[in-house]
Amino acid sequence: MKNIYKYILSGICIILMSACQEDIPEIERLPVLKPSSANADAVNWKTVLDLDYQSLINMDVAAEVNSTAYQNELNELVEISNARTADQTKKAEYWSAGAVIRWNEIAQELVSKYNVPPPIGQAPNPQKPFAHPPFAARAYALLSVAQQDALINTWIYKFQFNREAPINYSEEINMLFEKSDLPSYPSEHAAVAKVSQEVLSHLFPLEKDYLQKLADEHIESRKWAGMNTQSDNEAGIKVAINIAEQVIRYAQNDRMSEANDPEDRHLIYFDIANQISVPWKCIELPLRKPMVPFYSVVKTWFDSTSVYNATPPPPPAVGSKEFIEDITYVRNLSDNRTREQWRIADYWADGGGTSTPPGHWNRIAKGLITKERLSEVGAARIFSAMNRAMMDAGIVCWWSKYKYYLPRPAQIDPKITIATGIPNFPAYVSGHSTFSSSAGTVLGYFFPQEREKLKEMYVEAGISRVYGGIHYNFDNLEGRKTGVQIGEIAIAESAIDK
Amino acid sequence: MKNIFIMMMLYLYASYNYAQGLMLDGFMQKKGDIISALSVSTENFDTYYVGDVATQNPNLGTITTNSASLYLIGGITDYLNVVVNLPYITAKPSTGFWSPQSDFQDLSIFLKGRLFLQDFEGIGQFSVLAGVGFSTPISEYIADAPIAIGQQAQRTEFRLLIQHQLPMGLFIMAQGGYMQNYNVTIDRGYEVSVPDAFDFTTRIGGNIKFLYADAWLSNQIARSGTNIGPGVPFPSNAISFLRTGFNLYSPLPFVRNLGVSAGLGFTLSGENVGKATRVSGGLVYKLSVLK
Repeated sequence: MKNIYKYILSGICIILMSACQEDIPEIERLPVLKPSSANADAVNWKTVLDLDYQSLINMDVAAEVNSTAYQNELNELVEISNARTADQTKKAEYWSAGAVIRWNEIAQELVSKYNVPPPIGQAPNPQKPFAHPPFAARAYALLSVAQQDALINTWIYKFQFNREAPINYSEEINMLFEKSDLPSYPSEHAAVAKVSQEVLSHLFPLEKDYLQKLADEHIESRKWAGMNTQSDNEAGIKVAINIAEQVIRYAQNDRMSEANDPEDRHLIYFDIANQISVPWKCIELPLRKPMVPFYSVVKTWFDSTSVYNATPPPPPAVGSKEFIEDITYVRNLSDNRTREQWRIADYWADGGGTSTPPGHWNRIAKGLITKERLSEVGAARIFSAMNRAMMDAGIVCWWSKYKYYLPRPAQIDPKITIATGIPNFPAYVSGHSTFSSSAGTVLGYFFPQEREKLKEMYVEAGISRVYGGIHYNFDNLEGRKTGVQIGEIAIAESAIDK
Repeated sequence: MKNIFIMMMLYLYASYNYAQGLMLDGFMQKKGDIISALSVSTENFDTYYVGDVATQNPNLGTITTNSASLYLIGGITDYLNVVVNLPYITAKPSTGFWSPQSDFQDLSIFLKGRLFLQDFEGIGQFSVLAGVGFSTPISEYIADAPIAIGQQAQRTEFRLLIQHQLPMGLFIMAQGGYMQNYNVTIDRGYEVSVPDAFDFTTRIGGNIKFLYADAWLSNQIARSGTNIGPGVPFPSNAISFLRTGFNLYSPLPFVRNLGVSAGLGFTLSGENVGKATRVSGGLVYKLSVLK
């Protein structure tokens, strides 16, 4: 009799032990970056900030290959690369997928972490910023501008000094990856790691130690892998520190600090009482101040006159025939929402706690960039053009939102139901539509074979907000027009380089 | 007579609608006997737990979940029963704008076997049962929203159950279960894990004449998972709770093989779940295909 219990118990134990959770990989595995082109022409590309970087950086001349100093570095590399641990291999492989790609992912992770509204009535805490879409658009722009400028300068020195890969000077180095044809002084990995660490630490001050640890690991990983010597890394860091200083100075003066409006000054500034017959109001509980009413004062990356020329025309007046047609369309969608419409609304929502719609487009860009195996500098240039476009698109979109102060559909018809959260700011024009079409337009320029697909994506991202019950279709359509226009402005500026 | 009624007692028990396993009872149907039951319930909560912190959301108000479930229990042999459950669920908030949801939820099929049965002279009957079940969503209901009727996860469930039945009809039952939930792909376009959970339930019950009653206490403990929060997919939340309740059952006087049941359930504490109160009622019908 006792045996039966034993069997049953051991049977249950076996079942429980085998029933383990299936793993979800936290980090996307990506192949080691083997650039399809070295982009030697990048030495002639224009940096975003128009500064005399060369004299700011004042780069040290690369040591002669035969010098004792460099020979010592090579010996160190032989030692380190031959003593490489399994853990070091794993870390080096992670970073080898691409410095720009990995730091873009880190930025997205931080945006997601900080994309949480502060408690009601609490003053914004600069140490702990609320990484909402306009904040995020600016964060991605600053990061990729810093990466682009650091990499263009890195390329200039690489081809000036033409120091080959360390393996060419010492065959005893135990290389983890294939040899790079790029000159190795300064290290592009060190430059990206350091410049990204600095810019992100400026944006997320509480993450300083975490970012330092990541950057140190990233830079060291190039030695573990036998790819770069100490002076390659130090030269990269030197470039990065100088560029970061300039980009942070730009950020300190771009007027983002004026974008919040705890005192509701925007009501006076935009003369809402006299200009708007049915003004937007907060329809969530408890009541919350609208998001960054003065985002439009922030400095644009591209020519501000051209950017503001893309301001959408006034929306149909509340109660007008055209307005009623559009709100009826939203109501019908909400009453008869299909499963596929819900899926689309959710797919593009990128709401609180996520990397925001600009983050979503950074992921789309990442996919295209890794597929084409673009060089670090090539990748940075595309991220930079796209993210600057999205920030400028956000600026003109936010201008339109507060200038026209249009209520959300559910404020006018409370029977409209939603499939995604109602953002706490005016409707016209749709931020999702504007951000997405600007990004999709820029990416379509760099990846012409994907242009149609990208267009489908930004069209879907825009309509997703109408499916969600939180936007009129004219918010979407006018937002798309504005976004495409901003995208074209960005292309015109990016194309000058070529 | 007594035994027939007890056998007809269904586990219309602790089966809350969201993220909970299918409770089994300790009684076996004889070969060829089928018990069918239609149960309706309403649950509501205005307070829910974020982690273990009780929270209210004025943008949702009170969330009411109604369900209609079909149960079938059939005796394949005297020692092996099959249990099938299919609920249709609606959920809606009392305020705010979130869209209400309604659809068929998850179809569950269990095999329940009696491994051991011993009659002790004068002190009753002791039995050991085990169950293995599988449930799968049968509609594309929405899983990742503040108002949702389920998690969209397929699940394998294992249960071990012991029961002692005293000669006067009183019984006490204890069961432990493990729910292995499989990953789901959410509308955001990626796959998330749904935490596995342990579940422990005890129940004590018996009859006074034709009225049968029982009381239960149930504890579910998620093995892992996240807290409800911005950006966190709902299906991957760690759902744990301690719930209690009781049920009544009586055969109808003039209709052969038909009975009615009623139940109440309360959430005592929890994590990432609504502090829901549940009221249920059902009709139970027994038919014999082999007699």
